[in-house]
Amino acid sequence: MEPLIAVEQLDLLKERKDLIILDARGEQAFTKEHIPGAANLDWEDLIDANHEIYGMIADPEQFASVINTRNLKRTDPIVLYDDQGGVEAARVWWVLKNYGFEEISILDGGLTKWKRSGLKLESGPDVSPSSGDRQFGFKAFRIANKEMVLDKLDDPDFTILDVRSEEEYTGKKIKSGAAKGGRVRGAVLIDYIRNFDLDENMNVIGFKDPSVLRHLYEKSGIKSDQKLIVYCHTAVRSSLTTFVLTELLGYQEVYNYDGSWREWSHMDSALIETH
Amino acid sequence: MNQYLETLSNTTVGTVRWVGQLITFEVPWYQNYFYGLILISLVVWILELSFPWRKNQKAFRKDFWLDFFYMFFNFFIFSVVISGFYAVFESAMSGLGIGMESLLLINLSGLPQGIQLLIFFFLSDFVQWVTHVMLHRVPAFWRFHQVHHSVIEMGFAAHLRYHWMENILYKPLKTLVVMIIGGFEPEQAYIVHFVAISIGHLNHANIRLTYGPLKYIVNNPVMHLWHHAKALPKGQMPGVNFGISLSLWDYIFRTNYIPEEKPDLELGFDEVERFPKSFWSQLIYGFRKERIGF
Repeated sequence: MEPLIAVEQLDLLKERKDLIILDARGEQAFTKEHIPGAANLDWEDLIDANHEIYGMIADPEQFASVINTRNLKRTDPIVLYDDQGGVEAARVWWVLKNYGFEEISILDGGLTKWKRSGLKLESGPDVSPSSGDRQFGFKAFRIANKEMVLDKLDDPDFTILDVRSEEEYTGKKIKSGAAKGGRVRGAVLIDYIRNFDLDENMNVIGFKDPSVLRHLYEKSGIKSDQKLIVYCHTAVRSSLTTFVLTELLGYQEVYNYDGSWREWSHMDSALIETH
Repeated sequence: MNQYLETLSNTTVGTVRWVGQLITFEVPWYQNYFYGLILISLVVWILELSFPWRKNQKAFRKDFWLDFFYMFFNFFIFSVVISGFYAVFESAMSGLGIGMESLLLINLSGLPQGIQLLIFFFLSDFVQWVTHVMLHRVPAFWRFHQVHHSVIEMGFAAHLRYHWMENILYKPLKTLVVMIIGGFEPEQAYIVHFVAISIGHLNHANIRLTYGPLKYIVNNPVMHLWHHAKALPKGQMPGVNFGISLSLWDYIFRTNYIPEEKPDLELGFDEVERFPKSFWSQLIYGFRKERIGF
């Protein structure tokens, strides 16, 4: 399957018995309304509950316990969506890829576009089929940890890419979970929201055209042969940028820093910049 | 079991009747919580309109009617619902031999009325101050207290925009105080009640008040606005100026913070824009699983 799937395509494909549609939002939002036939896989359920930093990728046991309630297997063709353009879906995409899942697409425009296209919705709690009993081994996929960032901080072949808002980048805004404001020393800013076309109310319509995206990154000095470590606050938005760079634009060496600012904000101030 | 159900229904009906008596003026004006609330609210509102601190704030500010509803819900609708449960609880305690005099440590009954009231006022305010600090420090409680801090534009009625679950915490601790000081509320407790409502309304009013040197003892809108600040310096988390009627405890325990007089201070909390906006969704918010978000 293509990395991005259009709403009209999904509408046609959703009758396929083997296709799994996953809603990456929370239970409350899912129950209120979702795409017919979708199951709920909240990205916040795929995190390590025992880690001191919130939002780190779940360990194999935790991952299996959640995935088995949906009876998913690695070879299942999966379409992910959310209602924020694909950012939560991208996080689930990234986590699944780290556990060897093979065929995953993201719905372009997500639930918002589905609704705008006048397509039908369902409501009610998740009624997934019987549970599975599989084990999933961790297979590192485009993941960076604190040590790698430290190592590549002054490496001229690597660019550290910050995808948060400008306020967070300058340190003016400090989101909860961070020890202080600022950015990784030497990081370049390209807000993840710039991957999207927005309407007049700043809601996501869909992903920008790949040629537009390519120009966006190259104009900022990030060429396709560049090696990148991408981060944000919780590594959710950076999962989206990782998806764009690797799946849509063919960048090869992109690493998603899972600890992101929640972790890095605790580092020595020599490793942090502000303003 | 049957006696509890009976207590529950009898007390609930009794409270409905009492509220009815308030509304029909069968209860005299000086003890009438219903009209007292309306009167105090009107007076403070007129003061706000006559001497506004934030000059551009509208008379019917953002969420005015939501707060209006909360006022009457928290005071009357909720008290009808909860009264039965309190009575059942009291009954269960007395079954164990625990009564209001069980914790008697300081007997106020011999003291002059005025002194009784003063001690009662100070003690219950202190206990409420401690409770308030907990509402900010304990994550589960904070999720309910966020309703009160979801106020973006400050006006007197915001005083009573709060989740009814706060009563579940405030009431037992206040009752504890009452038990310690003699097992009874002073006869004129309603005076303390009306004073507290007035101070509370004023604390949230759009009026510039500090009460001069009394600011170190009495809470005021200039100080209380900082309690509602959206962003505080890291050293001041998880909050400042916890005072209810009195600012005294904040000065004693060094939780006071008034860097300047700032009427247009940004209010709320981190990502308050995402907080539910309707009465019902605010009601259920605290009971749901917390999504941290990204």
